[in-house]
Amino acid sequence: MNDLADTQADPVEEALHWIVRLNSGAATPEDAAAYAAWRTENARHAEAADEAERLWAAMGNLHFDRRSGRVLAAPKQGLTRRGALSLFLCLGASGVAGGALWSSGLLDRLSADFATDTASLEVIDLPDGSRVSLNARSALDVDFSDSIRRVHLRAGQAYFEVAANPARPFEVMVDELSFRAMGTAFDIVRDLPEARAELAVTEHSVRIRTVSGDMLDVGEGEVARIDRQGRIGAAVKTDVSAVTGWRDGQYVAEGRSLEEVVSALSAWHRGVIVIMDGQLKKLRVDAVLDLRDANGSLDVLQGGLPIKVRHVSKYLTIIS
Amino acid sequence: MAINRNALLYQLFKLYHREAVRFATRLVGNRDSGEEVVQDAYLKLVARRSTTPIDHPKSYLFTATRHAAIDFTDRQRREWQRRVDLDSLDEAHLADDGAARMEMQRELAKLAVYLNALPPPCRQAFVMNKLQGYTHLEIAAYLGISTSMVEKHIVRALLHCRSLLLADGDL
Repeated sequence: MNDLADTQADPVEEALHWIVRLNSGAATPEDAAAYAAWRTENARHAEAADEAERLWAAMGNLHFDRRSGRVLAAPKQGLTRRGALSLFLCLGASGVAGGALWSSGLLDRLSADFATDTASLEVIDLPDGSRVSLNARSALDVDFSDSIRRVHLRAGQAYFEVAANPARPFEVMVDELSFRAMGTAFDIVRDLPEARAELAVTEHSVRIRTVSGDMLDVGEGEVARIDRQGRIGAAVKTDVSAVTGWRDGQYVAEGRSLEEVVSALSAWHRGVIVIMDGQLKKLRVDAVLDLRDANGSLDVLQGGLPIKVRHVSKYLTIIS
Repeated sequence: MAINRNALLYQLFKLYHREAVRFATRLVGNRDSGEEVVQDAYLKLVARRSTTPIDHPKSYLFTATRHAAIDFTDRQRREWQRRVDLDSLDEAHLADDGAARMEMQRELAKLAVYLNALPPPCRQAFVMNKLQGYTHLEIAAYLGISTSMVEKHIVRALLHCRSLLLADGDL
């Protein structure tokens, strides 16, 4: 614990260590509670934590330019539709070449043809006239051939509006799961806390197929989930427009678990949200939330659920 | 005196020109901009007409280059802001609210430049975690290093930015 001794001289440095640990992806609720306690120990700590959190937060407004590998203070032109298309043309081959790498499951957003970071949304026009909206922290690879238009959803969530072409079916892959459509519109989200993937069809129908040969046709206005074991659940009639609300910055929870709601908010939030109690994760939530304001959204939830939402600071929220 | 100083500056830039451009290119992302930044740094030093002796010529030059890179990045950011305000309400919506944006406008340019000055693995660990949302475990696997090394890289990136923010004051 050499570095602990070093940091004691400077509480800001200590606070930065805390913040980095809390954002590691492996922080426990106890870590969050310990930081909250450290923070309130004395005025010096509180001040240092404020400064450290302010720095951490300010950095969240930086942008990373994949092409030059540089950090920028402003996004590069923003990906216009035309820009996205030319990017597609540059990277057209990499979707195929990168196939083997994907099995590691870690490279997802890094080397994908299209990828979004925290709190960003992108609309991509594909060369066949189809359009894909990519939610925050999501990634998509495009792998078109003469006989099939195949795309791989590597991470996150996307809404597909497919240009009809019966001779060349459009297929979305989530690892080995296949979602095939002729000319339809649908939404797929992968890696939910309680499911491998979820499909919501807003137009016509989509056929799900698993490696074990199971198949299900999901029709307009229906939602179907594939569980962690790869089993396809029943297609259920729902308000599918609720599922695609994220495209307008809205998250519509209809009987979703608190864990799933928090994970959706997290893709749009530059801070840490911790659920202290495993039981709370299973709470069912019905609410319409603003993805761009995670903290405000959690306050709304507090009004209707047996939970206490504590904003320790602007960047650390504890649900207990 | 002033003539001597200008002669010295001229020699300094001539001697280290290539190194300075490489440094500036790293800070702002492409070579053309790098050239522009070094030229700005030179012009600014000449225009300053200071009489303070230059003690450590090389670090003097590199500090001036870094400052010029911040000006350059800040200019870019302001151009972007103007464009956003003009023609895209959507983007403005995604950015933070006006007051918060104003407060750290220039600081953002500084931070971008400071981060670009970091060694690649350190910068990459930070970018992957903070800007792209990867966990330390994922970054460790990707970079082929331990998770504690990832943590060290990210802390180092933050401390580096903080100390330069303090050093540059209200630049």
